Amino acid sequence: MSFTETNRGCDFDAAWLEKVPYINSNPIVQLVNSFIEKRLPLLKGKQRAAWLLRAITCIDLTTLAGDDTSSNVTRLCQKAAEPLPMDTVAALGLADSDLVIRTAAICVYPSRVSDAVEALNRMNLYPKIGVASVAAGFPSGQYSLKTRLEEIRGAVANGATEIDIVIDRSLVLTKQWKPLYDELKQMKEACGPHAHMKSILATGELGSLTNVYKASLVAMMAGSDFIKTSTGKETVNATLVVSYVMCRAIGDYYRQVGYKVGFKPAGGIRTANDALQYLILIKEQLGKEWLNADLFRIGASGLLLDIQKELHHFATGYYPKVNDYLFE
Amino acid sequence: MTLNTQISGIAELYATMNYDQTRDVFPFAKKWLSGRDPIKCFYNGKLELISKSSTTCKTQAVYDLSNDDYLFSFIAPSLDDFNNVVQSVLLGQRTWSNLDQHSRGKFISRLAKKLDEQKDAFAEVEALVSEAALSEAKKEVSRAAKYFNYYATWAHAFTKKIEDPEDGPLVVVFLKPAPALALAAAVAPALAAGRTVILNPVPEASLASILFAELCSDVGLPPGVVNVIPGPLEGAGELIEKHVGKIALWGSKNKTEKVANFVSEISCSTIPFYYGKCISIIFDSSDQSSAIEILLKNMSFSYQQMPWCVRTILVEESAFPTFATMLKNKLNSQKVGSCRDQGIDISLPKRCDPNTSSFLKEAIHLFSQRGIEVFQLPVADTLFFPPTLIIGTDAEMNSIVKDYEVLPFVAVMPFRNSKEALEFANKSHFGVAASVWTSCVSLAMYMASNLEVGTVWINDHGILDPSVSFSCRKQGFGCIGSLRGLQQFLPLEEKHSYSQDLGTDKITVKSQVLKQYFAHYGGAVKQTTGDAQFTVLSSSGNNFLVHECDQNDVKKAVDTARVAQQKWWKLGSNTRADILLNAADKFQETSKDFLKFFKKSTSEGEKELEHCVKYFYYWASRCNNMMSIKNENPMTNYVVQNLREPMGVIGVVDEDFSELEAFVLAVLSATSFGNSVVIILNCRNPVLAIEFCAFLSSMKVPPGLVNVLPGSKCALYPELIFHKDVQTLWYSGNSKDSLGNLHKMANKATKCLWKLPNSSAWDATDFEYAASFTKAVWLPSENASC
Repeated sequence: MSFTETNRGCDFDAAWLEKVPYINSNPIVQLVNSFIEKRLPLLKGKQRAAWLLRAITCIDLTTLAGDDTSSNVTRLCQKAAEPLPMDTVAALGLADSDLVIRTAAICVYPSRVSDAVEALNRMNLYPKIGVASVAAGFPSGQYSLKTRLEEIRGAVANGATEIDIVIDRSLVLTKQWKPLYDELKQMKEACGPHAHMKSILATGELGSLTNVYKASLVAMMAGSDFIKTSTGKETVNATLVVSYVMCRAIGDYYRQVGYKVGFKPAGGIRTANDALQYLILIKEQLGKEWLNADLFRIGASGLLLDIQKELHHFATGYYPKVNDYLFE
Repeated sequence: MTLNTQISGIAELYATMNYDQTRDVFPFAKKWLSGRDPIKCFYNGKLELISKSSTTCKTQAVYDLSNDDYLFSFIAPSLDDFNNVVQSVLLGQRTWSNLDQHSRGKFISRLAKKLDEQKDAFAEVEALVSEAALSEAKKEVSRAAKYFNYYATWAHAFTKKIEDPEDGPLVVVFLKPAPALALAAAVAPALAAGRTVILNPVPEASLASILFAELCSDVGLPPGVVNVIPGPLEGAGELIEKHVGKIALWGSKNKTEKVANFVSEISCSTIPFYYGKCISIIFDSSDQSSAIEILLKNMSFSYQQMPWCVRTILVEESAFPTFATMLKNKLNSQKVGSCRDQGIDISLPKRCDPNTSSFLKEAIHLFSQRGIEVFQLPVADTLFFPPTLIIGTDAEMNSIVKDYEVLPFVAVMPFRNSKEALEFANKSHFGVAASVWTSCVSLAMYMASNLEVGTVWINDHGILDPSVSFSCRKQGFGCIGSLRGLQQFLPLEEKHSYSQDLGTDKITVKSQVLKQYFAHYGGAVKQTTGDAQFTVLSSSGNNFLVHECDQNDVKKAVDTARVAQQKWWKLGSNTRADILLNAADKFQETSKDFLKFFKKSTSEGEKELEHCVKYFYYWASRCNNMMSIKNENPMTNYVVQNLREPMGVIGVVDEDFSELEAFVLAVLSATSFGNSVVIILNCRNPVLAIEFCAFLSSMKVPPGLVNVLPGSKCALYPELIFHKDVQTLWYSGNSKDSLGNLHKMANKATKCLWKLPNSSAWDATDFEYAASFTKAVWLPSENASC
């Protein structure tokens, strides 16, 4: 995976954070509903299929379970390399085109990074398909900074191209923005010059939209290449309302500092419709240039299956049998 | 696995990531229309069908706004048609009145259900002839159905019956294409109050009304309960006056005025629902990005037909430059298109005719000439007038453009402090709604209680619910939603208990005059200059000489009343109650002193005084608790705080036959709600009223709170009714002619006229409706971590 431009971050700007107003949720709920209602019906037929293909290329295909082993990580890599069956690809008229549909990356625990790198290497797709590793005391972040940084370094050493770090939520809830900035800055350094840093804000645990917005700004100031909604392990994961606020922060940061930062919703995105809603949100809030794997990722595991089914139906006119897609 | 033929073009679509470009289609509406063209009127439960070829009448064709396709034609109604409709509505009224409240309630519920079921069809028919996008129209229809549901519950609760069928029918005049909400807001409460309706839409937008009437027939509503007659009402004035109980107007103010001229010839009670100009006030402490996006959804150029569209945005000066830039940027990123295109953000209003177009260009030119920044979105089709921001000033204030309402302008201007913001906002003569954006709760509530509008949204805009009132603070007071929306349609009590004539008016001055009486206003007796005088002979044989006052006195009295009202309101309800209760004690002690002024026998006088003391105590004690009002929680994410506010100066025309009772009732009910009153006395015994007024002035009330002006109708009534500081009008008396005349004048002045109930049988809730105004304040109640 290659990124067009990295976020170099900026100095900690306390005045900027102070200026952030209280963010009301009612208007945002209204706005999100209104443009989803307006735009979603406009994605029909071929248009919808094209958008779904785009969604696939933005997926960070994820497995974050206690029982992950080399074999299921290898299967995951194979699925990432070939997310759609050949016949669906052919039916969509893409068999001979230059457009190769692959997911953007796979996302695993630090211990499984070497398995993934090995599997992708065998397919000659490393690092075309990125290897993202969660790190920094995932999912809670309640560990000493020393071990959290060590985790990052270890994952990078094993070949991770992207690091999904979690932030320490206690710093947000107690409004210690400067310490948060300093921690993230160190983590960015630990990622080294090549691995990209995605900061997981765990928005379901931040308490308010205002905190979400401020934490987004701090994460970007510290040099995050992506900001990500959730670990997938909180009670509340990605929602459109929270995503809207994070995208607003990304837009504001871009206008102020000049770097484009990516956005990754994760957790609870299971259906094709869910995914399209996020694509619409990104297009409306940040513009078309954000709609690619450089600046937009979806963290998901089950989503791919739903998209596969829908594209199959679109291409052939019927839904596949359950065992047509066994690689789960 | 078999595959379809290969699909092509996906890769290109993948690269561009655009939306599908589609336009709204109207399959149902076109089919529905084909059997009904040309449109005439709907009565006796069915549409009058005319074959197009056979008609000799003049027809008027209506074309599609977006592409000039022929849609349907319309036949202007003749006097015969009016007659048919009126006969039908009277028949319907008889049936409707004879039903019990539960049957009526059931019908309204069924209607709500039907409307919701048919919302797609209804929205098509509505959108076909309006500037609304189909998706917006659908939302409006669902909303309208909710209003029917809400008023169905009230229909079950009300037992008041309309006795005389000719008092029942309501004519609803739509002065411009009205959304389904307008229909629901007028029809649902009217049906619940036991009235039948005649809908009078503008011809080009008559389809939705006709379809609505058909749906009414479908659910089994008795024939004649809902009727439709499109087109102008000229020529039908007499019929309406005779057979119709009320008129409701829906439209913008300048258009309403044109019709008001027509309506002012009709002595009918009129309820106007005005379109207005909403104001949004943005403080530095607000979430401006959200404000901009919400306001863009509600700006007049994208959402013109709704009464809550924003036309002026006031921004705190410290935030003004960034706000203006952000607004311009956001506007630039909006997708602009015709109202038929799907998925657009701003639907342009219909194509301008050359006149409007050149007028608009001229206005823009004038703005630029005066150094006012004008920001316009580029629009490809030159026939459309682009969305326009006037930055740094308010177009209305500069009086550069007169016919401001039709213009797709939104003004953005800075203010320095909250006081200035209030001043700018309250200057507007619309007074419908405002939104306040700040995260400071105390500032938000300060603004909410001081804005002269009917609805205030805190950190939001354009939220409506049937259980919350939405009304205009400054003109007409027509109300959408809530109990108040129903009260305006409830029948008047018409019981006669006093049948005496005015009697001893205008007798020549006799030699022995015990005391001379003058007008009493501003807290003191004024030696009036009017030359007419009349005498009153009391039961004790004393002869009093009452001097009439002139127009000048009316003006002065209203001026003092306005000042007194503000002082009175500022005292707070506890102090007001205290003062009035003290006065009541004193009145009870000294009530015997009033006996000598009665014309009736002492025993009857005593009885009336007893009533007066009772009323005095009643209203004085209610002073406090009448101000509390039920708050609504229609949705969990908003709390609606209903603030009860006084109307202001109430003008009362007193022609009552009782001597003191009716007067005391009017004065105390009005003042207990925080109003001041100016009363023209054309009653049987002005002396008692003046004495009572003098008594009140001796208590601690602000001078000018109660003002009495003895005088005859012809000269003084218009002066009082047309005075701009008189907010609302009351009539106390039983003369039908007089009431009719006053209605005509009130209609012309676009004011509400309320007839006081009989002093022996009244209900406090009616006074609540007439003497006070409900301001709905929508407060956000948010789960921050959503």
